[in-house]
Amino acid sequence: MLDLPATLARLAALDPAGWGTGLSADNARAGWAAAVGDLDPAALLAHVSGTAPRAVLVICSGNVFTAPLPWLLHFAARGVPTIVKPASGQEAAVRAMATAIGGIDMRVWRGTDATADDLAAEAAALAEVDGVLAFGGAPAMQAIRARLPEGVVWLPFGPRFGVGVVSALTHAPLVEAAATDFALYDGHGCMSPAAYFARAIDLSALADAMADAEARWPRGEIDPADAAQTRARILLARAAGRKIVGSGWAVVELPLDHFSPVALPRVLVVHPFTDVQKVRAAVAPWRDRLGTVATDLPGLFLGAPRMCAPGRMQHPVCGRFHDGVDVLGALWRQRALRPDGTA
Amino acid sequence: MRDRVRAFVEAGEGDFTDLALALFRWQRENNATYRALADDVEPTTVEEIPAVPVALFQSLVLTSFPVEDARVVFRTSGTTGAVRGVTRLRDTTVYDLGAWRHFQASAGLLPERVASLCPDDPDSSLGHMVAHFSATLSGPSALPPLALFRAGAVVPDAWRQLAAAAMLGPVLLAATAFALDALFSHPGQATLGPGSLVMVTGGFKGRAVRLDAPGLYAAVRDRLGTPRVIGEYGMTELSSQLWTDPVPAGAVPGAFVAPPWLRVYAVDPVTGAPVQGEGLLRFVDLANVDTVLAIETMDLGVVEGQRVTLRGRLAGAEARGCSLRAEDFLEAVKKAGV
Repeated sequence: MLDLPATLARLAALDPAGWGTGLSADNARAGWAAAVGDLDPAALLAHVSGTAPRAVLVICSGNVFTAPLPWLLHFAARGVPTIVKPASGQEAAVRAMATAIGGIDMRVWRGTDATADDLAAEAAALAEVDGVLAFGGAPAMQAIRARLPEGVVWLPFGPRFGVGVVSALTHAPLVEAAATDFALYDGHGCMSPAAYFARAIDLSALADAMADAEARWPRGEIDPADAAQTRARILLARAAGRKIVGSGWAVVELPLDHFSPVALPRVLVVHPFTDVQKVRAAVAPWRDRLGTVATDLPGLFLGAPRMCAPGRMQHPVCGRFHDGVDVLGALWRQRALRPDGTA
Repeated sequence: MRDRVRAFVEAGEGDFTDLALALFRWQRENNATYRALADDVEPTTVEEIPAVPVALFQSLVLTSFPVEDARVVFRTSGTTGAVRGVTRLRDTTVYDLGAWRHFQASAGLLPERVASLCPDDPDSSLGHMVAHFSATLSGPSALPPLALFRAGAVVPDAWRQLAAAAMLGPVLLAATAFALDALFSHPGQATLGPGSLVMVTGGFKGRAVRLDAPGLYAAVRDRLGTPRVIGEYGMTELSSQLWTDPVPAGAVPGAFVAPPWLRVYAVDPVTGAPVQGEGLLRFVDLANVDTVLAIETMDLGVVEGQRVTLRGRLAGAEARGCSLRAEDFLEAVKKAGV
């Protein structure tokens, strides 16, 4: 049986700086501290009704290196054997987590451009499990789905985006909260905001907050495509909005009709609004991909499965439904009763 | 300014750099959006002229004339995303002149008949170019091309029509790589002789295709006879095109060559600074007189003088995890029908 307090202590003692996360050492440590700090023993040990799966396969996506952590613990705490397949380049992080938790079988194969050996490794893993929890892009997911054995529970989680909708970005603490949401993880992952919408905006205050965030958690490596898109976004603001550009960060104010659901590293995009209906309309084309909304507006509903306070976008509640899906409930099978009441 | 550009395209009159810098200043004066992007820049070289990323053609009006005077509107295809980039022109005089001159110079002897496996949408710049070539090649009758691709699909009797056209003499078959692959997915063949030319443009851009590039060109040899093959590189935001040297059927065309009124250079995607070797391609196109002359693409390539070897597209790293990449965003837009 898992000794949860000891496991959590081991996890808290790990240093992700050398895991090749692509983030700066300080940002990786901040992300790791948040992820470990958000783990809730009560949620990890909460009873799940039904029959536990024989084993579960967790297929990780890249860059959000902390994403597998709660799932590995959910299964380990309930004694469910877990196979975990790290994303390419994320082996160090997953290996460290698996070692600290114990009893987790990390296996490596290529999901895309797979060789015969890769496919054999995947087939062997799929044959051992009752459920697959998969994170990643659409083509990779479709490929795995096509090879899934009959009867295996398939829980895919594709790309999503998040936004903030707030009363005003003029003073702390909301300004600092927004900067924190944008800075942690450098815009990677579905919990990084693509943009904030605000009724009032102090661009200078936001710039100060982003500069502070950069000093505390310097930006990490930048993908060339992200860099090119960042330059384009800043140019767009020059033509159609306002901008303040610092070293490693930018604050960009654009009209609502320039909303894009693509988050860019350390680019705090803010759209002014007066009517929440217009925010709803701006987001509407991509609503089925909306994952998280941070807000201080009571009663706001944009259709996202997750709502949180500003500054808490990168702190998902342990044990929550993921993208609206009851993962544990889906994996724990409910035994059908015969008409005579026996299982 | 249009006359100066036309004279350069037509007869090579003037110095490229001088004209490019003059055109930049003229466009900045007459294009409020470009002025907002470049009001504090005084370039002295071609590479210093501020380049507009093609993505901004989706959200900004970039014309050097009153937008209400636009008589021609070209839109990017849905293959790169359903948020379509828009290029507005006062007319196609310079566009047509440049397209024809460089194609003629690159392709050599040309057939009189044109068959098209290109989009037939009225707002397709590629469709316009092929129609212009057809009208020019067919002389006074100014015939439209034989349309073998309609509404996003190869017409049912495309092979029969193409074979019949080839019986009459050499044919210019203008095709996107995607449509050519679609044609080859249907049974049939046609015998295009050595006087015929197959023009192939565009990549597959993530679309489901059966053949890779070498497979596609091998199929040209196996299914279309012995035409020469030429590659074209163009985009809606660019009024000029680049062409490869023609190659025999079965061979894969090589580097693209820019016309004298177009300069290409590569930049570091992160800094935007010019680089030797592989980089993001920027174009300075005098024929873009109605829009902005300098644009930055998302295509990677190596530039040697006027020759460009494409190295693919700068795509978001797969390692973005569960966040939405630009490609996902475009796909989502497409699904939403925006």
